[in-house]
Amino acid sequence: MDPGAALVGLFGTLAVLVVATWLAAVLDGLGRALAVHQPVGLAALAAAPLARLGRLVRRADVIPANADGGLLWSAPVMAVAVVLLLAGVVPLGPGLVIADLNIGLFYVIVLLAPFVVALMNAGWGANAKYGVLGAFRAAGHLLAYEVPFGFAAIGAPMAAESLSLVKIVEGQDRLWYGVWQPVGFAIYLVSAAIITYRPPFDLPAADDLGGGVLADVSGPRYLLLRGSMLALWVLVSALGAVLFLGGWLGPLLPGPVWLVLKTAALMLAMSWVGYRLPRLRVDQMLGLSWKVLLPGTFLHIAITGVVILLQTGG
Amino acid sequence: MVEWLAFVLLAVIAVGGSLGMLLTMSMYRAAIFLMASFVALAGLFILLQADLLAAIQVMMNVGGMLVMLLFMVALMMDPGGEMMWDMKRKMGLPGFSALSMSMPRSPPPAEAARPEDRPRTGGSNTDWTCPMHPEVSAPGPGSCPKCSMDLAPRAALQPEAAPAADTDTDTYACPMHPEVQSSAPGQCPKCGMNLVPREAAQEPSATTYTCPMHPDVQSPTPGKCPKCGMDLVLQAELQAPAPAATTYTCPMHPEVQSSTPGKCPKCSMDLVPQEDPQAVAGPTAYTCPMHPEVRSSTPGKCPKCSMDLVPDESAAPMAGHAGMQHGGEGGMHHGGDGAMPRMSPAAHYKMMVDMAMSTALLPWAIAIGVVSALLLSWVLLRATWPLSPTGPNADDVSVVGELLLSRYMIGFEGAAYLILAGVIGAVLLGKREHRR
Repeated sequence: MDPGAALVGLFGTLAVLVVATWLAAVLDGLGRALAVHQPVGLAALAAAPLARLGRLVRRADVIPANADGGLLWSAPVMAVAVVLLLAGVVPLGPGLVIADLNIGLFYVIVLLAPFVVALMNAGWGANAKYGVLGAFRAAGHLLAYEVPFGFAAIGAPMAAESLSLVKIVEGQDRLWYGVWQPVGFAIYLVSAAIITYRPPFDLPAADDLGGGVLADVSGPRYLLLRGSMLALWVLVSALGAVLFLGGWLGPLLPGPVWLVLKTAALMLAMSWVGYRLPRLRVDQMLGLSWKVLLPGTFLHIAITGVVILLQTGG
Repeated sequence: MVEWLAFVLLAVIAVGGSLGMLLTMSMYRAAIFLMASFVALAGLFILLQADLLAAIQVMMNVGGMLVMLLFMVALMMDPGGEMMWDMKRKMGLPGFSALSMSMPRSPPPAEAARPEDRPRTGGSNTDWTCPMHPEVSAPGPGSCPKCSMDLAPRAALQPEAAPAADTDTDTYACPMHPEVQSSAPGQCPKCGMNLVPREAAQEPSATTYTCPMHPDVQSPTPGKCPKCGMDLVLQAELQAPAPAATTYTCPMHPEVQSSTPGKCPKCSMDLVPQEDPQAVAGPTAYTCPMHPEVRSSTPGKCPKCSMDLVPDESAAPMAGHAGMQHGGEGGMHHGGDGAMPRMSPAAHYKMMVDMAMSTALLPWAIAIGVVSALLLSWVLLRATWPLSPTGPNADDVSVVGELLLSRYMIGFEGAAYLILAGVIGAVLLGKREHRR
């Protein structure tokens, strides 16, 4: 690999991610304003994340007295690394992808686990009560989404006969998978909301623990962790658009614009619905996951399999 | 060139991670080190063009280690970072640096001896009885000959017979909502947590709260100072007298006692000042962290769970405990904690477990863990692994799909489900046991 190209790719991805994170913060605020029927101007919404960024950059980085420094520092580093590694496989358009891995989807699912580790490190490393409880919640959180997420996403590679995200998009040129796999699509969106700690599934970082895993994180580290949580939300939503809404496919407009529009629509929907629902406890979330989402994914896989068999005349 | 750099870096991380896992004293750190090592190995696999193996390596090991962390909470009685904090406090460790194997370099500052030293069980009534059959009487802990329930001190079962009992003795409160009070144990109507006994009510006279800055401000209840808005603290805590003759002892061998600092003759650890000579000399000095009814005058093992007995902190004044949990000692400081009812270590642990949504039920969890481990090894041995150098072609999508859906799925997903079934089973059984 050429080192120069690698550096350009790295900084290009970073720049795109920063813009995407800002967009995510704006969409988050817009969804909240819509959910609570609060009239807010778009300019104010767009400026709010920037003002918050300015405050966080200037704020002192307070490290709790008994903190486990190494773990505390590993958290933002790991979170940003996971987001960077994930961003490399999302196809923005035909040929517009850093790495078209032949295990693309599997790679994405794999990389979601270290993100939880990053958040747990932030909570545990602070070595204070609320952070540690938040870390336990984050681990319990993982049990709620891991299996439904994988099973919901598996419908797309079943139909495309490939794990490569590019091939999955190309397989949807006639009909989006989300149209004839609505169950899988819905379950994917719910588990995506759980993964990215969107409300109403934001218990590990919730206010009842003073911020949970982020309770004792401040300043630039808080900025990096919150930012990577938002960036992960963008990436998982973009992946939803790739898997179920045909990715970059669309008439008239260029491919990347279509992907951004679809991703933004998914994010706005998730944000709007999420802020209208009451927050779920860990046990309620596990109940939802194991009693509703998991059987739902089995149904989804069965229906998808039958449809594919009928189509191919097997 | 980039490949070589990456190779060296990943190899260093892999080896360093495994070394770190062996050397660190914290279970959590060990798990994180192990994960780092596995992820570095996955990176090496990628350099060898074995993407699929690398991905499986990361998914299974990182996901698996996260479940292991949950097990750690359920099985190891690890109360979290607080435990490390407490260890640090007791042993005077200089800090949990990355490869910390270090023992104390210097004795920690002597703790102020606490006044009002009175055992919680109180009185001369050391009779043990069955909660169901009051006619059963025994001189010590054991099980009831009629119903095999664990015996408990009679004084603890009959609070109205205990001296100086007041009407608030049986008040239960929610750890999160102090305003929720009930005369019987149960669940909080606001958050569904188990109510815990309000021990603050059991020490009627000794609790006067005062402001650290304005000693003239006195209040019978915790709250804010009207002059400066600081949290009020226990007056007894502020007026703790300096210790008398300090005795030094070994953190590992309590029988080693010395009047001067130095090394333990048995393990060469630095001697530390003994925290409270009176409490150790008292009749019920040691107890099990999990079974508060187990009491012994000598250190040793718990007859129920074989854990090491620890000096009974509940026999020592609770003011010290409250100060430890919510005082200003650094990382534990959070505004608003002042309103929480003060709890015994056992009740506090129970609350932590409650909030972490895990089970404290050892035997069930161990049994299920053993069964899942056996089933897991069987599943893993049954699957035939493509480990030969002429393995499957990872570039062929259909081969990858076939592998994923057949062998790997059987092995790895089977393993994951067994572990998950173990966790869920332990939690469910734990809940049932809890209600019974």
